[in-house]
Amino acid sequence: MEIFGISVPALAGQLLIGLFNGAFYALLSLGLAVIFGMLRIINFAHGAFYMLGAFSAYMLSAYLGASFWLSLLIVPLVLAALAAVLERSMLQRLAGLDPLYGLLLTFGFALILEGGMQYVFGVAGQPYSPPASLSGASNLGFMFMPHYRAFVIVVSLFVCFGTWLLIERTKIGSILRAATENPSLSEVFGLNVPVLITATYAFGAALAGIAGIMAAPVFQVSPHMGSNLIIVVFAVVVIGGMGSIMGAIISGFALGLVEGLTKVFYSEASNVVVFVIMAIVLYFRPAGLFGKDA
Amino acid sequence: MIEENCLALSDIHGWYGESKALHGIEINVKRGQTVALMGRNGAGKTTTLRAITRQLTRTEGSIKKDGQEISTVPRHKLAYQGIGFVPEDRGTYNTLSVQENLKLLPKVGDSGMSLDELHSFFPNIQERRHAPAGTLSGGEQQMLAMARVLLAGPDLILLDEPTEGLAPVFVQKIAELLQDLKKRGLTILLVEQNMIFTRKLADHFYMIENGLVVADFPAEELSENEELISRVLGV
Repeated sequence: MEIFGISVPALAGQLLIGLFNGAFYALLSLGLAVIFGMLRIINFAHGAFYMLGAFSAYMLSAYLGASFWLSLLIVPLVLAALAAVLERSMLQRLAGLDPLYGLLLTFGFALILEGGMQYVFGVAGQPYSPPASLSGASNLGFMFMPHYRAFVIVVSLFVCFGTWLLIERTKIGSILRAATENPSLSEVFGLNVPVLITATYAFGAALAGIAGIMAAPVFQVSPHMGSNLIIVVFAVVVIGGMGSIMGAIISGFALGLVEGLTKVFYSEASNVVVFVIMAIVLYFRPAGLFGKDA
Repeated sequence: MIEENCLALSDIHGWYGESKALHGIEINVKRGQTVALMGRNGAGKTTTLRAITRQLTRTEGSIKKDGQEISTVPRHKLAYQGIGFVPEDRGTYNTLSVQENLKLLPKVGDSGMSLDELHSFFPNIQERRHAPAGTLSGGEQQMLAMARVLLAGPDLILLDEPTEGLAPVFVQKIAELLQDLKKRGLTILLVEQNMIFTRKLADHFYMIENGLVVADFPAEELSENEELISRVLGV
């Protein structure tokens, strides 16, 4: 069977890869959106956090023999702790200054973290195997579905919509949204905004950590894996609308799919399609598809 | 000795960026009193409330709540000193629902009203509890802002121009509420330009001009000070 001259298994396979890539775009752009919403900082260290997530999983496995499942619990906590320290010790001092300072500082974090990992591990990729229980693939009739890829998509959907629920539907979320809308007044009302800011930065980093460990078995664990991906993720965030939670999630998955489809129909354009869409969106809706100031 | 001042400001100087707006404000608010700050636009009334709530670039001087210095308390702990604040722009969170706004503030005391009492006072709020606060009218937002602070239960409420821009029916409603709060023993520091409104409520008046208190007198001496009031308010 064929659709537009493309066999269904090939099309479905590319769609799955698109969704799989989209799962990472969504997790990473969600973290950026959460951080931008609260801190008004474009976190250039996000790609490095993702890379550290993958390396943490690699090191936990290589030095301590930790399983993938244990690492999936530990790695986000490690990233959250690291981010909390960075925020408390440095980023916090930039509060009230032009957001450009935050961008420069986090870009500095990224260079230091990447440089540090390159010094220790070199530029070659480190191996990391997927858990045995997720190896293999199922024949769905119209396509083969690798279990690990399906797992990543499900976990990403779960984490993304869980985060959305947390922010939009809970008391903690309403406190966060209030502190985002008017930080100084929220403090006068008795909300501990500095702690909320640290927690938000840590949470965003934890999301990048989850993306990192899930990437480790599929992509190469290398110091520059984050910087290669983060440019696309920034484009996703711009398309979704800076700071929009649902915008980040939906455009993450959608752009993964669009990329996958482009690979099928016009593979030469697959590397640029996201940026072309970004340019078009910026032209018609400068605040992004889900941005509030459009 | 029991401290009779709920709030005492002494020699308060305040700055917005480089420009100085307060030049040594002295105000005492006795427990259970309603005190009004009067003055023209730009005289420093709102700035005084912002100095108390630490929203200026820089503030110097002593601010005591129940005899305790609070000018060094971290800003997010001020509310726990029993201070409630209703800012001039209402400070309702537009993207949060009415209900989320109401439940947002941490409980800091018990002198506040119950949710049921507030709902009977402000039926509109109950009806529109799922609407985003940004869609409420100005009067409804003012009621939401007041209700929200009262639910937190502070014993001192700082109120900045509660009747500004409101329809007479809302002004009346807010006057009734403040009368009720006075009866319950709440202390209120009120910034207000509407003299007709303030006249019926305040126990003590402070006249502010150019960031300084130029006169203060109790409500009983209001009639003797009409000329001063007209001059300071420029009416």
